[in-house]
Amino acid sequence: MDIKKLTAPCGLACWACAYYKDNITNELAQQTAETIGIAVKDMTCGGCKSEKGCSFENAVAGKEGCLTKKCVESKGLHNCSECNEFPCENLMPVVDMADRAPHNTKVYNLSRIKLIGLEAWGKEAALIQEKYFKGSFVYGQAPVLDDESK
Amino acid sequence: MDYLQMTASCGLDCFNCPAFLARENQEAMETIEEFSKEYGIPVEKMLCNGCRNHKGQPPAAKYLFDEDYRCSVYECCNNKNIKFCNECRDFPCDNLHPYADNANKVPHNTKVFNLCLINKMGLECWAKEKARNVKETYFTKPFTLNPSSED
Repeated sequence: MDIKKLTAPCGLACWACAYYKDNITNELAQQTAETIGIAVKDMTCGGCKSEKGCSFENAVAGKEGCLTKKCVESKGLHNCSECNEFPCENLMPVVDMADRAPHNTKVYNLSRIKLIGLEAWGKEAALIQEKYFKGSFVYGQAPVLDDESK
Repeated sequence: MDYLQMTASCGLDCFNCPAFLARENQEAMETIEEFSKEYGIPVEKMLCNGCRNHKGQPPAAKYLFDEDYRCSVYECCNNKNIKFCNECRDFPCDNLHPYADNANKVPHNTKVFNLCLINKMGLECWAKEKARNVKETYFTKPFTLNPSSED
């Protein structure tokens, strides 16, 4: 797997996304396509940096497109962690859609990339996403997955 | 305001927290009263002077957990003799992991963003110019990939 190509400029792990071509199910594609108003076949995604780009870009960002992606590309960078303005408004965490979309993992991912490098982060990225969505709240600590608490 | 004393090791801005503001601010008090009902914690146990002033054991945590309970971030920073996680060679570690659970109730998903901003802007500047905006944006603004075109 080409981690460099499959990591979005904002620090999301495209290969761990439920809509990535190797992960998507027919059921999910149909449900979501209806919700966001695009064709079912267009739900399948090759990653943000693929030719077609993220399947959600038009639905979430409109015709202007994703600001983070445009910014990183215009600066000739691979991702926001390389930017001297990191982290800027484009990466601001928000509660809205927190249970469905992984935007609140961006700055954590990017900071991990800064710390251990893209390749090493790539090995933990899927677990970060799983813990984000499925982990239970523990005061002052990391989220706990069910199988960890047993 | 002593911003160093009133910012938790994890990067949360105690000085903007309703549990700190409630004694003097009616809106903050209403938030605390809602929390109190929802979690079954008496209002007086919710009122807080900031994480550092309670040595990593805010009254609500003390009420919910046992006497020996300490926040692992506070303890870790204390043991390493650093003020904030962003000074640590392991930043950011698992203790600052974001999560969806309770995301709409408590501000854990702003910690790493705040700590990175403190690195970038300095504590005073972040505290005075940005911290409130981060918290308000986090709790009230819609998810977007075009933040600068909002407002």
